[in-house]
Amino acid sequence: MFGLADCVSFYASCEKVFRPDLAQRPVIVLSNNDGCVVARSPEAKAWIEMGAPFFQVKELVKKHRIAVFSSNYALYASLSQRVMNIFRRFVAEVEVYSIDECFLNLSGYPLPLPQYARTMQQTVAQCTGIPTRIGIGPTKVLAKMANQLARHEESGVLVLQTEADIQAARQDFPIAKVWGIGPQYGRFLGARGITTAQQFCQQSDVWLRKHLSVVGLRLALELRGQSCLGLEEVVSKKSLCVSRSFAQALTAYAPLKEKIALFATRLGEKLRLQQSTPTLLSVFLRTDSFRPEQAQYRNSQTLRLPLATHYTPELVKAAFRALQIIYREGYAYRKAGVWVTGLVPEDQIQGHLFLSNPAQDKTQKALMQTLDALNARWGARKVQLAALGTQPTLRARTEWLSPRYTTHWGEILKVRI
Amino acid sequence: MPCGFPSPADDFEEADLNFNDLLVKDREATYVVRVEGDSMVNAHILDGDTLVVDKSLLPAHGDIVLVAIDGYFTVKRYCKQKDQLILKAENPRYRDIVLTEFMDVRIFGVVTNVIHHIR
Repeated sequence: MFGLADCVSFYASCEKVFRPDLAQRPVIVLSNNDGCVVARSPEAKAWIEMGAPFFQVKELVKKHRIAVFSSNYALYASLSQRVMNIFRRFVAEVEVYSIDECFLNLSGYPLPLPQYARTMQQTVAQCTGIPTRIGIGPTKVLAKMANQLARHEESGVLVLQTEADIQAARQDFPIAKVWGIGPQYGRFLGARGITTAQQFCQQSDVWLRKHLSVVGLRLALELRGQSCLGLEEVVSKKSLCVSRSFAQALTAYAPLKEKIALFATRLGEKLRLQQSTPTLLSVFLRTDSFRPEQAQYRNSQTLRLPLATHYTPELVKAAFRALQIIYREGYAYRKAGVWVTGLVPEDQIQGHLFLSNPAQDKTQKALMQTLDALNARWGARKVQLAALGTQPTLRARTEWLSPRYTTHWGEILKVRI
Repeated sequence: MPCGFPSPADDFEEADLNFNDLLVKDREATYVVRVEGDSMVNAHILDGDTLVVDKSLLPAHGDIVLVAIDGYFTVKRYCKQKDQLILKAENPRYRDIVLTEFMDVRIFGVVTNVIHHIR
């Protein structure tokens, strides 16, 4: 059996831990640069749409006395780690899937699972103040589905144990909401009258493989209760992206170029950390679509890297080329990003007859290791490519940032006694 | 490789003392706060002290707790008297708080250590 535990309105719940005055109040958390709403406490859900641009909901915020916070990632990461560690006390195999979700391998736990789940939930709540939901099923896909259905359970725990439980869960579950289906397959299936998880897993294996490849077939098997995915195996995670909305829109080429260099650099760090190398790199740009009165433009460009690499200068070079292709003068760019796909493990890079140069590869690797080590020791981006510019031109807008209660001595909770 | 005499201490290397071992029992449930005020001076908690709070512990009679009353944190001694719960200050100039059902009371955790900075 597998479990999927997730934290309820995680960012908003984190903000409430050290603010008992907000216990019953609606709370929302804004994205980077305070652009749009990325988390809502249960009390806020009645008023505020997920993803709504902040300037559009300002009136509602005032009217319903909604507490607003900028994203405090230091706090969220710290509390997330505590939550995950507490799950590890109960379950030997835990796969951290995102900042607020983890899969639990519950095979071989002889105890009644609903009680075990509730004990975990209570311990997490006692130690961190973060409410969690736990879904349990015979496969990862069913555990994820159980977790989504656990929203409607008072206890926040749902176990799909018997065949009847599983069938009842699949019956009306929208196929587009099944883990791994995504909007594209969702539309494809919808157009063919397949709208529920139940209908989906009644399709023949041949049909599934033909139209949705082996990934779709695996999903159907998982939905039928046959486990294909172990821990650490995900449906598909073949790309990485670094993107930001800008506090102030950027129009000129030079500052945009610095941003792109920064994103490509950050991407290089991420790639080296997970020891994988991309074969394709893309850059995208867009103006603010929430300001229809301004001229609108969006575009992206994908380039094939001559060699799969996570060497920062190569990534930056490719990103600049892509940017040059899509940049147009006269637009106010609000968001940009760099993403990579076609990831291969760094020890499986295809050689290139003319470009491969083992000695040079070694130097590059040593250089990047030194760079990463220096930045880890002295703080992010103490050592960097000159292309990133030397002035921190744009700081993220974080008007409603809460203290980093658990990670900075200067910001710990002050209590008037 | 330089070689010389191996240090006779090589097999006895140990990590230095770590304050976490002394102050933290439950890493995931430990939080730190700084206090302002003199209501707990007789419990040796002075203005500006740093407190270590263990959120995993349930308070027992006589424990010092970090508690939120009607939305505001304070630190008090947790006392059970007959069927009443009282949050006591440790300074005669402050009044005890007798808890009633009309108050919103949330115990955050139990104070396990006081760090007093003298220089």
